[in-house]
Amino acid sequence: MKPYSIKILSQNSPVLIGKFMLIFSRRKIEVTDFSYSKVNEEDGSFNIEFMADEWMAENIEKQLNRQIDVYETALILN
Amino acid sequence: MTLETPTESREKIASPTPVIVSGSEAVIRCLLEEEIEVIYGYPGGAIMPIYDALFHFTDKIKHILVRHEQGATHAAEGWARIRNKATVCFATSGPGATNLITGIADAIMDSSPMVCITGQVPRHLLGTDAFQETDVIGITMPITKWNYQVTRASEIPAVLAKAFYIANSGKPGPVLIDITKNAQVEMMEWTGYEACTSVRGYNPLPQVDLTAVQKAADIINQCKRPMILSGHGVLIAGAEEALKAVAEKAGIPVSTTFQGLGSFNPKHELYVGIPGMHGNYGPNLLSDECDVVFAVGMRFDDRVTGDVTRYIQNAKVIHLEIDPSEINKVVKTDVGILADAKAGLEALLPYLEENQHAEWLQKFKDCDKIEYDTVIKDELYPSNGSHPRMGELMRIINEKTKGEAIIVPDVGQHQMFAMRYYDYMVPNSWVSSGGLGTMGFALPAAIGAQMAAPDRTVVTVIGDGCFQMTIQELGTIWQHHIPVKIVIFNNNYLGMVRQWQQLFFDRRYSQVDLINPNFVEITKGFGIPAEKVTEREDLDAAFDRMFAHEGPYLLEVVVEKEANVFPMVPSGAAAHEIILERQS
Repeated sequence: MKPYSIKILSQNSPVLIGKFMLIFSRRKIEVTDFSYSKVNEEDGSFNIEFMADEWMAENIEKQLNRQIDVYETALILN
Repeated sequence: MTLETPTESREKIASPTPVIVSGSEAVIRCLLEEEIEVIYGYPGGAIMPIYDALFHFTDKIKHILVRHEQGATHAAEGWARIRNKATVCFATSGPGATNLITGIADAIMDSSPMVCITGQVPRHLLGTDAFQETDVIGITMPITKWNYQVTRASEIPAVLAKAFYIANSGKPGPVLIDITKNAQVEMMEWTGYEACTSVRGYNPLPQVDLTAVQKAADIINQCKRPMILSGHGVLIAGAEEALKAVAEKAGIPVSTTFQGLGSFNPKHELYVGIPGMHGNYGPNLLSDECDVVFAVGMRFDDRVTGDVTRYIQNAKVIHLEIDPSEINKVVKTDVGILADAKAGLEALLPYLEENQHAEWLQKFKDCDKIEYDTVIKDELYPSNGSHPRMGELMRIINEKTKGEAIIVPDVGQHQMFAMRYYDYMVPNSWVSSGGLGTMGFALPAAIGAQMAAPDRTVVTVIGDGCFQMTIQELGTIWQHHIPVKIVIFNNNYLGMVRQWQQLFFDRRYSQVDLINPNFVEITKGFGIPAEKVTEREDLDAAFDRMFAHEGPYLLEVVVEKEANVFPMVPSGAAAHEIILERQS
């Protein structure tokens, strides 16, 4: 298990918090830190930190990235 | 701008002149613009304004009044699986919306496009536990491709356009739009409809990476024991001809997955059957000998792989898939090609060398013979017992429809027999709940399939347990004159659970006995002709009567009580550990 961050640029929508958390909780991955900031009226930026192995981290990033309201994601090994 | 009644404004749908309409009428106008032919739904308090708007458009759009909202979703799935295009479900808030859940979950698992529109309490009552309020957006987050709550009428055209675009494009799936009652009754300016053609950050049709294609071709050109796994993505993309061209040029045996049935001609020399738990002997047994597995539009479901840690260990894996999250999700991939199946296969074809793998193909044929002698022959042409066998029934249906009907099985043993013993000669002829395995799917799904293909014969094959889960849709079939042929495989058991209890729980049959009602009388009570057959010698004439009848018809067949489906990859075993018959 390694510490990862996923940075997400998405629509500025509070509903997305719920969608993202479901992706983690379904896979029993504990989120260790979470932040959200509004970029502008339309866009928002999330930063989610968690512990996972590489395969799981990559899969979670793909699942987050396939959410329709997500514009782009970046997975970072902390 | 003028304020108009729905009847008056109906004539101006294509008019560039802005008109004032209610949010509800805007919904109907959007559906007409999307060329929606049929809505499956059930009215209720929070969606009454939309139903009132629909009242004025019933000459342009058909509404099928199902008997339970779950039936609406399965009917929409049936439609989508034949047309490869989303249709629409309507439901009210609260229980109406929650009754959609099983069907929506089924649709996301099997990539069936649909747009569900639910009514919701007025905006000012959201979050107050108002009558029939439920958080359907929260509930459907993990089982929809996209969902959205509309609280203002002016949002409706753009949101619905986006909904249809998302549902139909890329890997198709269900979308749910929840519309608060205030948004339904608010007036708005209708300035015309603009179909959605792109959504920021969403790339449903990725450009084929030719470097990956070249790598894949290099691997295929050098391999000795390849196998193609053709999945549902081939059918969705309309890639059947491209698949055939690739398979024939490179001489690769083709196995079609459960949802890929019909994507490759089952009579073709290169066809080697179905992989997975109750699939064919060859593609399971020989999976361990493959040096290349080329997976096209499939997702390596656990029912295909068995124990994934021991699956295709000796093979290089090429995965052509439109959904990037599927590549490397279950099986480690050597080359991933992110593309629509048709585009990917067409790009690959010129890079492939002409090849044949006669010796390798012969191994599959040898397996076919073993399976036929050990299992199939007795299933199709049983030599003992007077009660018909399920495989035998599928053989008769296959013979009488020449493999050209649409088959809609429910879930369980009969589904596996329907998968194994029908020749799916026409693409998009298999409508089955695969991922979620939803009992009760078949009867309403057959309604949608029949409406999507009114000129084709639709046969729904249902177990006695499944039938009682959505039996009320007989009312829908009768009311709307849907000419589906319903065949009940009745063994008075929950057969698949009983089979597992027999094989893996020392025959402790726990809660699998069914004391059934009189299905024939119930069906006749719905106005549908029905008959029951218990003896083999009566089958042929009974099926002839069913197929000769122009409208809906139910044929109940009492089948062998304790039949088992074989071959079988036991739970926890690897695919190549498939067993042909019960072992002590």
